[in-house]
Amino acid sequence: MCLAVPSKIVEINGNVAKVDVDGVSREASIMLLDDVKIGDYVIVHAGFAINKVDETAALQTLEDMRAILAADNRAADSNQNQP
Amino acid sequence: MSLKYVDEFRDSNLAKGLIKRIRAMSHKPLRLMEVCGTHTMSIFRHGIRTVLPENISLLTGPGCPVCVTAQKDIDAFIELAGRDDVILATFGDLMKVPGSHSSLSLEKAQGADVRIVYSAFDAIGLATQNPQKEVVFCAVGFETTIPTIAASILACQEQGVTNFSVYSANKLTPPALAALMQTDGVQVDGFILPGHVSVITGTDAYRPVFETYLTPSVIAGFEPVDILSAIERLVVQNENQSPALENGYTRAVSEQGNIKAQQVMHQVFEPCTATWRGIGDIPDSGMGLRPEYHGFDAARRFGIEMPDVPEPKGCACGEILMGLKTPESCALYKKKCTPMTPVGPCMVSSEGACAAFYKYSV
Repeated sequence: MCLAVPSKIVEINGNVAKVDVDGVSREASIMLLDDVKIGDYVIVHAGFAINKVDETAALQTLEDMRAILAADNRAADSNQNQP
Repeated sequence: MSLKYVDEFRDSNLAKGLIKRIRAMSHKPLRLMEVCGTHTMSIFRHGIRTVLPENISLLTGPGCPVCVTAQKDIDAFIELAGRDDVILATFGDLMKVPGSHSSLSLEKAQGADVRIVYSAFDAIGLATQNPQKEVVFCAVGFETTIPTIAASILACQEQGVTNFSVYSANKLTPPALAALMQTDGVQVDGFILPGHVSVITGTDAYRPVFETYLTPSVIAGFEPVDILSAIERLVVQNENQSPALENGYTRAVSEQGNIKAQQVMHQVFEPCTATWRGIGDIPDSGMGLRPEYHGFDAARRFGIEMPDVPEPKGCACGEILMGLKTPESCALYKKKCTPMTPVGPCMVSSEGACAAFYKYSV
């Protein structure tokens, strides 16, 4: 029910935007958002864009996760190398 | 073409690393509740239950809007569908939910005008195309959906559409979590908090509940890496005995949430007592229309007030929604209650715990 997917805004006409989801084009209301522009990725739920996807935060989350897992691997390697 | 910010969070190497980390760190028996029905589906779809160590059990929570809808509200929808002057517009998940005597599906088969819509906005289209009819929208949603319904009502007002109204069975998430924690027998060691509800509410909305019960809590997105990462954080919080309210879905959720959506929601709706299936009445957990929008209230417009009725005999949906039972421990599961002949809503909604267990069990 709360399913929503990141969709790219390709056109804006007043309160309605045309969004692209993996090659499929559909309309979404942008009434619930300020400052959206063409090229933004928004999360669309039940025909409404409910938020923009924060690209910096997305990349940071992935980077943090990779750093933690890399540290785990290094720790595992050094344990294995110990006599 | 790939889906941006979806594929990255389905990266199998990240998932494997997180699973390894969870397995290495988790020692205590843990009961983690995914509050949101969309998480339930995602957990099954990606096989997450099968990769967790045995000490971690996942419970489904009260976060499938159709599943928590009280029997009397289902009866009200059916009553409205039975009126000759009404086109009832609903999300598809509600169609097969059994009321006391019928379902919307059965009513439609017998000639009632029931239409499945993707958005409350679509229901306005129905109203403008059918000026001789009254279009009633079955408003069954949490914070993610309520602003979209509020925005639709504001659009109706602006466009002068008068043959549109909503029957509100909307509900709020934090009061349900508080009610759950006050229920005897409920034992939850961590909440996987709903991602898209939180897009609207922000992290702050959970702070009062968190500070009262100090249950480890992590807001999660819906991809496998999002969910595994939330489980990993909940394991760490439990193992270190350091409960925290964390946001694991920062690409969509902020501390304060979508303030504009909150304003639209509160402009049209105000908190009221709501009846939750299995849990009962919870003060300030529903969202009813404010007096200035009573003209859009289908219950008032058509004088609908249904009596409280008991839930179907033997149906454990209520206990399943609180993590007190699993679908497999319900006497009706897979016997009298199947997706073809559902007894309770958890077997009807695609996001219901019983439907998910049924679909993915071998």
